[in-house]
Amino acid sequence: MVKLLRIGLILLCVVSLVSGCASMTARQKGFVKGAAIGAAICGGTAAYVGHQNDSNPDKAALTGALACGLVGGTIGAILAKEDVVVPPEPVVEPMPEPVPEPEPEPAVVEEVKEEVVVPEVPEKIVLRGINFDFDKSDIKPEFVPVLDEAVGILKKHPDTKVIIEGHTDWTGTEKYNMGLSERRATSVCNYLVEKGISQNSLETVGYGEADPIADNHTQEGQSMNRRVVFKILD
Amino acid sequence: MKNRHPLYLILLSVVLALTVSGPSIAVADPRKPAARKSFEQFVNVWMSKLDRIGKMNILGIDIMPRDQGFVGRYVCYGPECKFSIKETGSAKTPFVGLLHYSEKHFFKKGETRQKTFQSPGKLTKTIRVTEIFRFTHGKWVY
Repeated sequence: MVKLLRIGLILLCVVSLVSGCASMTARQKGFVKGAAIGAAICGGTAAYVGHQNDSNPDKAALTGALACGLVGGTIGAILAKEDVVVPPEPVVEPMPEPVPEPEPEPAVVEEVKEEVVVPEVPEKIVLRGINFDFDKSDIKPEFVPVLDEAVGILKKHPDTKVIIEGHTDWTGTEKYNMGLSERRATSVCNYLVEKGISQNSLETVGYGEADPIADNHTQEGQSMNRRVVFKILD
Repeated sequence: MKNRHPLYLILLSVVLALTVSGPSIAVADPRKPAARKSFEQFVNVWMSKLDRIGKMNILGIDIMPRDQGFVGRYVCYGPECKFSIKETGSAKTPFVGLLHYSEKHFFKKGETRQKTFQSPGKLTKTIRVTEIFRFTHGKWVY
């Protein structure tokens, strides 16, 4: 009986250790679980039966555990499903109803067609919170998830040109901000290349403080103006 | 010990079996609902800011002489948008928030500056924008 308890304890330890191993495949885990369940149930039952029949319960338990462990493991491996990673559920929530565009007047529409001279930019990704330390351009750990998300989007456009724009607020001199925005765009570009984006598809531009989207007179506006933008050109 | 009823072995077996065969489903970060709620509020504020910027752009449109008249361009954002948040697995930035909206480019033209300013803007280009924010130290950073 002592031997049986030892076997049970060893089995418990092995199963606890092995079932926590993240590197195992689903089938391997299935085998281990099936083997453990089979060995435990059959070993226990065999011991009980052996005890009732006045035979050797330890031997019966060991034999039952081994036999059922093998069978259970095989069944477990067969039944095991492939690893299922539950992806984080994207929460998409519609905002207020879209406001329809005003009806264009035909005469002006013709004029508008003449005015469209810039290349179409079908998609733009704006990275927020890439707030480099003063005079620095190294990628901080807290930026990485934002950059990785952008990498995921860019990988959906493998054959497109991407312009990486660096923008600053107007704090500091114009020349300084121009250099700073270029260094930051380059830093982000290097990260993208490290993550497998083709360097040939990337181009960096530093705009400095020259292209604000908000009022630089307020801190709020300055925060909105500090940004890295990916323009995806189809 | 030999005389004890081995029923406990069966109970031990059942407990072991239940332990081993328990569900192994990845559990979502319990902070996610709160982060999602705060991002919804953040998005509302952010879109209001963009709306204000668009209105400022209309009022502050730079009108230039061209040919026999005047032209001007401005940009507006949204107002329609969608958003989502994602878990990242990062300790410092456990979530990123994605905000999708349109950047709309408008054009105005008129015989005089005044007429150009008063003319309705005509949509010339729409760009799909995705803004990515990070949730660091319990707040959305931009």
